Amino acid sequence: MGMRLIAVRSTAVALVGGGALFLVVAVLLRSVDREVLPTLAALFRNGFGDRLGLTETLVRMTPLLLCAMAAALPAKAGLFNIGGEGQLYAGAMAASGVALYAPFVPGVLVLPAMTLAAGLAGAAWGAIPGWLRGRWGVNEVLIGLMLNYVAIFLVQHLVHGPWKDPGALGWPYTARFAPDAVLPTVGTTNLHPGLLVGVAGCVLLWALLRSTAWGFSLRIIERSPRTARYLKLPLAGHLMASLAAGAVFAALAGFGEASVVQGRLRPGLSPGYGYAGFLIAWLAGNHFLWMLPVAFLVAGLYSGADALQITAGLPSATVDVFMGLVFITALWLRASRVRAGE
Amino acid sequence: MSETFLWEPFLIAVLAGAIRSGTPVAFAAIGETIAERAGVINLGLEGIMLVGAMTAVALKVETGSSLLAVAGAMLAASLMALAHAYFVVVRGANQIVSGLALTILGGGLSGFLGRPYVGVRFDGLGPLRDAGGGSHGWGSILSGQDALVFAAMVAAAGSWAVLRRTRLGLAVRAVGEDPEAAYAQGISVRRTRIAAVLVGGSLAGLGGAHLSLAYTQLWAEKMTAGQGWIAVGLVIVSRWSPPWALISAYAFGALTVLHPQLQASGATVSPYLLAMTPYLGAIVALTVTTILLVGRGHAIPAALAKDLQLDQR
Amino acid sequence: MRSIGRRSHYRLPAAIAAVLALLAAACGPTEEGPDVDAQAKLQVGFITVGPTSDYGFNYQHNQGRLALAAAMPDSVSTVLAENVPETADVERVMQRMISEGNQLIFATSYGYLDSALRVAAKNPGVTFMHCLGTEQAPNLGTYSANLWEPAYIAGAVAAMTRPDNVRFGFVGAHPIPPIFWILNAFTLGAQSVDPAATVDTVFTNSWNDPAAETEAVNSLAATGVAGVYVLVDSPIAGVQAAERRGILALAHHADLSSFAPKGWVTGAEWGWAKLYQDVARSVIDGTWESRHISGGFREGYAALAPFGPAVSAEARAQAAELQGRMAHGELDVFAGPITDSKGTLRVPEGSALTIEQILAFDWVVQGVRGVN
Repeated sequence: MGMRLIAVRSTAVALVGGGALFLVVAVLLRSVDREVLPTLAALFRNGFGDRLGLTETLVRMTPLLLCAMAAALPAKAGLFNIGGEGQLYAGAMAASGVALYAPFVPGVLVLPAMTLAAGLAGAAWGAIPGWLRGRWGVNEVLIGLMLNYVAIFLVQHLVHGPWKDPGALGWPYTARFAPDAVLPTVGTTNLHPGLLVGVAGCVLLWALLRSTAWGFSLRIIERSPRTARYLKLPLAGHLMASLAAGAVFAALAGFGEASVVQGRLRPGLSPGYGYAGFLIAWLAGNHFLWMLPVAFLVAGLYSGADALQITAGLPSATVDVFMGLVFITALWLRASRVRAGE
Repeated sequence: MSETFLWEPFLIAVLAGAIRSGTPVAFAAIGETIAERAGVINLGLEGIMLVGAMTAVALKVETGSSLLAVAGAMLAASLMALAHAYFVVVRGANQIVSGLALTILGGGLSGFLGRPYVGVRFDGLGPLRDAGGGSHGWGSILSGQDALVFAAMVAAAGSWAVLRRTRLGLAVRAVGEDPEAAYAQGISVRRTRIAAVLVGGSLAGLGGAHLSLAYTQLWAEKMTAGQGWIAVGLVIVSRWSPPWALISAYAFGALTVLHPQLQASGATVSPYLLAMTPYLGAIVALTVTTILLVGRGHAIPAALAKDLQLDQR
Repeated sequence: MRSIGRRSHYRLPAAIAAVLALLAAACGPTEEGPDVDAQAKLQVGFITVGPTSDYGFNYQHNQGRLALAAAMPDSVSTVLAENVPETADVERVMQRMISEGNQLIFATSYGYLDSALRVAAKNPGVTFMHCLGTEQAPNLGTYSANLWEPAYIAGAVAAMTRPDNVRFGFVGAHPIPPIFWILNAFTLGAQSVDPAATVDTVFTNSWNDPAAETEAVNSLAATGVAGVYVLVDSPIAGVQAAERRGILALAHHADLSSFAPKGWVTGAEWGWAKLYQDVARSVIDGTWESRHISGGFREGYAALAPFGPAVSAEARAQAAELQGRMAHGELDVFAGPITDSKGTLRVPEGSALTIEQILAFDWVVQGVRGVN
């Protein structure tokens, strides 16, 4: 087929997919007596249309982008990192530990120390499935998934037990972080440097991956591990390093949430950012530059749909329905090859 | 508190509770075992269980028939599993993405459509022999359970028998170990996988139905509280064997009932460290078996490993 | 056989779609705002952490909101956001409510406190009320209700209903002061009828986990308790489990008698309707002050749930008498002598716990088991 025909066909497919999505959303909205077009317009306006919405979208984009990076970097080596959630919590725990229990750190060094701690914790959490996969071939998807829950329960244990705030009268939270341990924010918003780190990181990684030997090695490993071994590339090392490096970003997202958004360590820090990040990375084709607008768009959709509860009185489950449908549509749009052997 | 600790009623209560509370996750784990044996991982279990739970309650409230409620739950769950099967098997999409998308969608749909049924009373699925308060004898461990609990045991035994002894089961396993060889043998890889995923999904829906219809007898948003994910872990721990999936589900159930039982009898232990054990167990089990089998075999169904590592776009 | 440049040729259409969507947002038809004549009325926003159909904590807040809207329809309009988790979302919800014109915000879950304080600092012209909070700000007050009063009566009624077996169970979410108030009051109330009464406690460590609550009640029933008091966000699961086991059911927050037709006794209910109206009026009048508001039967902020069929006429009369005495300040639930579960005398005869001590409750009275 000629390129133009492919383009026409794929546009048609996209329109059909988008149309089907619109239809399903319309049916659901009508089933609860809502006007379709005004509600959808409100959704987009809530997410992108006014200053409050835009700021909130950017705030939400920060952990989503960082977790997407956590999934995309290992993907370059052919690994699936769905352990982002656990890596996020690992970073949050480490940063909180420094904030609460390292009084010997001078005020100005607290934030750098927290960053370092979060990065190391995330790298460690990601290195476990990375190393197990690189050295023994243990499936990193399953290990990562299980480690997510270990991290979540560890946070709960700490917060209900050894790290519980003695001044909070038994409520399961840690003490509030001192101002030294809170990241600086833009004006009165919750926007913190994490977004810059994410954006800069994406650009940097994109550049590094396409122009360095390291990036090239990862591509070889992904396409053909056998070739990689033939070329004597340190397979296990690269696999572990890519997962660990990706995990650092998720951990920084956790640090940001604990420090800025919550101001303490508590369970439920992440409403599934790790998994959402994985989906965003996939949507962007694991391409670090495309990840920026995709993360922005997804963050805006989440924020906008969420705000529909107040502006349109819709139930809170609407967000998940909408986002689930968006991802299903994206799945459908990804026409793919016929599998071998059918 | 200086009462003598009575072992017998404690054990009876724990065993009965373990079976009762482990049944929803047992269904999901047995179903997922079948799907994964055929080489497809379904991470949408959480959403599918929720859809099953909500559908069961909705149908029970609207029609009053437990049979319809259970059947409807299985049907709704199969539809979601069908979506997963279509995307993954027919279109070659990324299994993880498809599963995650279904988890999100299932959670949302069940919450959205289930709103009218929150806080609504209905007559749930009761035990075969009425329990009442106080302790009972050893027989009550089984007689105090509802019909679906026994259905789970049948499902475990039946799946094992089918996988081990029948041609269909052989086809499923073949497709999961070496799809190309299976295809060469004339087995339709596609159809077998779709069927396996459908069965897995409908069992997960049945698990959700048990949770809402029999165990708690109510519907609440996100009521599965992660049991769909636990099922994925249990499949690993049980080494892709349906009877072991059932046993490990009961063990998980024992963990969950152990905590309140210990509290009710006066002891205290960190519930979160306890809760971690199934996941740590899965990690250890998978790591150890993979290492032990290096070069000699597969720790997980081969096609599953290959598909998860193949970057499918 | 991979198609050529497969990735790129779905991005372009997706990008076009995104741009179209944004254009639609900018030029799309606007929808009806929440209240057209907003200027005249005080707009009040309510935020709950769970669904308002839970027949429990969130349900009662919504009932209070509905009562407020019904009692002051000309001066007040309300809006509700439910299922808002205690994360960045709640700040956004609060900000969104403020931008929609709400001037009084009720943040009904304890975990909203940090966010509420932050948003309050950024919006000095808006009044915030936080439920069960422990600190205030110039424009943020806190509120709760003295539900230990009805809990005490519930304990007494329960003991009167099963005089042969005064072992009770208590299912709570977390070992925190608001739960200890109720646990201790319930126990003291049961002991006022029969000093041998005991309460076995199980904590589910979650505000909302129907399976865990069901299992907790099952465990308690298996040890032979006469009834359970369920204190989680939504008591439905626990109350139904109690009914299935044939034991008495008591619950916190709201009236759950419909879930336990045979075994329902009573429970402690929040009287938010009165409190919300008092607060709204004070904001409208300009007399609102930042402080902690609380009260019991006397102020109308606490109520006893309707009795179930198992409760005798004598018990009802006794309960009414106790309620009357409390409303007139003649009966103090936490008056001495009170000994804790470890045997220490905490409240000597002739004195009573102060409000501060009650709010900071971190011990349990003698007769409570399962808490260390």
